[in-house]
Amino acid sequence: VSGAPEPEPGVLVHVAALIELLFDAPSSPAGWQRFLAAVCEEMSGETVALLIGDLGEAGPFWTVAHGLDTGGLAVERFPILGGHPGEAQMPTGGVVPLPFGDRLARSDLYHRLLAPAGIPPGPGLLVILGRTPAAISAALLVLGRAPGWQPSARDREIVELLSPYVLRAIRTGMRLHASRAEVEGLLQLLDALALGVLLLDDRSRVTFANRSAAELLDTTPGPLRLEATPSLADREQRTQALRRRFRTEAITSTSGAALGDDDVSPLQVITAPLEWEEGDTELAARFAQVMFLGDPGSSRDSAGALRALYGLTPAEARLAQLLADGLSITEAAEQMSIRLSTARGVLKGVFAKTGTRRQASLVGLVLAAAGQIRAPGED
Amino acid sequence: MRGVLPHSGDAATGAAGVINEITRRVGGLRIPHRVLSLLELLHEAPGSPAGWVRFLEALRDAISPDCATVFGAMPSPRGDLPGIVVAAGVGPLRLPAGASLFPSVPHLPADVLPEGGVWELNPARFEQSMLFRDMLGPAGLQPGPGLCVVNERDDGFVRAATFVLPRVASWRPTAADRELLEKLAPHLAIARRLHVRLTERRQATDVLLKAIDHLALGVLLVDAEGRLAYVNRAAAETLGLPAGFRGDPASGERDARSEAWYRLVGADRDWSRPFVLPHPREGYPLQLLSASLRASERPGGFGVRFERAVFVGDPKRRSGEPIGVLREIYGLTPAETRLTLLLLADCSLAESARLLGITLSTARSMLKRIFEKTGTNRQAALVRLMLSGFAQVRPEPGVREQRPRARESP
Repeated sequence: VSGAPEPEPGVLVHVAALIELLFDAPSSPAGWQRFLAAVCEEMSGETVALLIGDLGEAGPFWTVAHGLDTGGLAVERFPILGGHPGEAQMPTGGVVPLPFGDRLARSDLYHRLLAPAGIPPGPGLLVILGRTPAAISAALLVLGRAPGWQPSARDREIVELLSPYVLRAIRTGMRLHASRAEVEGLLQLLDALALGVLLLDDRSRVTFANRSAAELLDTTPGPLRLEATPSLADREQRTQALRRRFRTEAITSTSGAALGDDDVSPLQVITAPLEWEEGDTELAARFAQVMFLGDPGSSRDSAGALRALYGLTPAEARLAQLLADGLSITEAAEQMSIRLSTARGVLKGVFAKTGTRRQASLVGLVLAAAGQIRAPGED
Repeated sequence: MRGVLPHSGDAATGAAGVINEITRRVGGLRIPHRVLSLLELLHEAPGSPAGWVRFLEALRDAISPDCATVFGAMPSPRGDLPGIVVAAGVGPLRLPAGASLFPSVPHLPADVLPEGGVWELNPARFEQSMLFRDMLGPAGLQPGPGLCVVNERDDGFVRAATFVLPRVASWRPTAADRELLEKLAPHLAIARRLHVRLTERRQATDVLLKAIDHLALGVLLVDAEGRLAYVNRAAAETLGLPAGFRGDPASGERDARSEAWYRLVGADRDWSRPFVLPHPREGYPLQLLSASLRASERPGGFGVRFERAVFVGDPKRRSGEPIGVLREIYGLTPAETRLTLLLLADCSLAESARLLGITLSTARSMLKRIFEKTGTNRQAALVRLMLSGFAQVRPEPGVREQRPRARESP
């Protein structure tokens, strides 16, 4: 920036104001919308501004516009300007005057979004925000709302001054986006486990419970609160539920206590300390240990997975499931309303298809993975 | 006052008002290009201490070599963000454990000293603060005259601030220095918020991955570009792939671990159905189940970082041995435990007896005692009991491979 000739201070003041908005933009689509609205406000005529494109690592990027309803259009990796040989030379952050030959007019973007809204494919300005080796894949566009608008020298100057900041804001947005998607993905993964997973702080209070753990404790699942102060009431509720189940105030960190008495089926409890680096004292206090809860009385529907994995028939999958649920072959036959000899015949088929020879092997097979994962959407 | 900008109101009609408000506020200032350069650096700072240091160095360059620039933040009240002190113009500073930064700073109410406010340090008072006494003073800085920008505050306390302090006693901040900080101040407050958010999420990722690493079930995460983002220890051992998490690589980049993974499972696999995969070394079938993680995608909003989770079940696995647990809970002797583990690893009773060097009849009577102690009556029931909890967790928490902090590098 410092090498460029000094623009008149009036423009810089406006650019600085826009940058302040830009700094706050990456947190949310609404933040981007405020920025785009302000850009349109600064332009010399009636304009629309549009932020669009795929930015690779962060997945499909959102489409945000001011002055145009994008209808939540997902932009899946299509070039914004298609295949012009000159595109390879245009750097990220560069500002391209539109129309760019007839490129924009031939793009998917124009046909799917701009043309239906009556927006001409130029004149206007385009800031390159992302690109593949061959084509521009993400951009900020400023276009006249109706034919006849031409960006002024000042309009262009403002957009050019803004472009490095837009790029940085996009990068910040990608990092925010990736970090959030990362956490959400991991929470979903833990919710897919049949095993209960809890995180406890250094005073044995529950800071997180996955879906299975919440069900075992009869409490609401507790995601890690990321953006708000955690609800102390929630934490307290989950902690009380855990203590009720333990029937004690003192939850020890020894591994392997089997919980339960006459009226509650015993749970298997395995705890392990979480290890943190030396400096992470606050984290070590908040996430002191992980607790796994296994429920020997539970039954997870793995029949579908068994059929897909080993080609079992519905009857064979059901028998395998019942045996894995802890029933004997006699009990399973009764449950299926078939004769014991028929059940034995079915079991033979199961053994042959799964490569097992004993019921114990079969149970181990069912519980290796198929029985450990909750079916999607299972409540 | 959390934000420096009005956040409510219709974006379309509110834009002119916001721009007018900001330009009114900054309009009297001449905005030199160096402010814009500093803002570029500040945009890179959130989420990484190194980024803050680069910004502080540039800020110091813009003011004077006779000053030092310091950013300090207290540990968060929830205890999930550690305190931090970084600086330019002095050697590395280390925040002593448990230190609070601004104990003797008068708790100016938010309307007097708002977030984004600039404040002239009173040397006599600042000298008394723990920040100065324990860190900045011993590092050779003067307690003032200097300037301070409030990056973050709550009702009672300044929680994070940026300082400009003399290294040379004769240095005094000028009106232009103050003007510069006033221009930067709102950006500093926003940068702090972004930093907090990024750090919280990275910590959440860390803690969840630590929990998943304890599972005996193999877990892999595949990212939106089909690369392996994470392999837990169980999956690493079963499949012979390196364990650990991989941060955001550059788009399109492939790595050796992902290549090895696709050599194992095939490049065009239908993930909607579970399938069996031969164990890479021993050949018996492993179970692979996949869960799509795309449900987090929101229209017009956020996409996915992980495309799917893949779970790997090993029916003959020999890890996840709950030796101590079985003794503690069921009172199994070491010999009984060994027999249980062999049965769990899919050995028949005869095979187990041979492996243990005992006769089949000894094994039978041992098994009978195991049944009694565990409240089971058949081998199948014993296997089920173990696999519903105890055998699902690895016995010893191992050390996960260092997670590459790709997104923190410059």
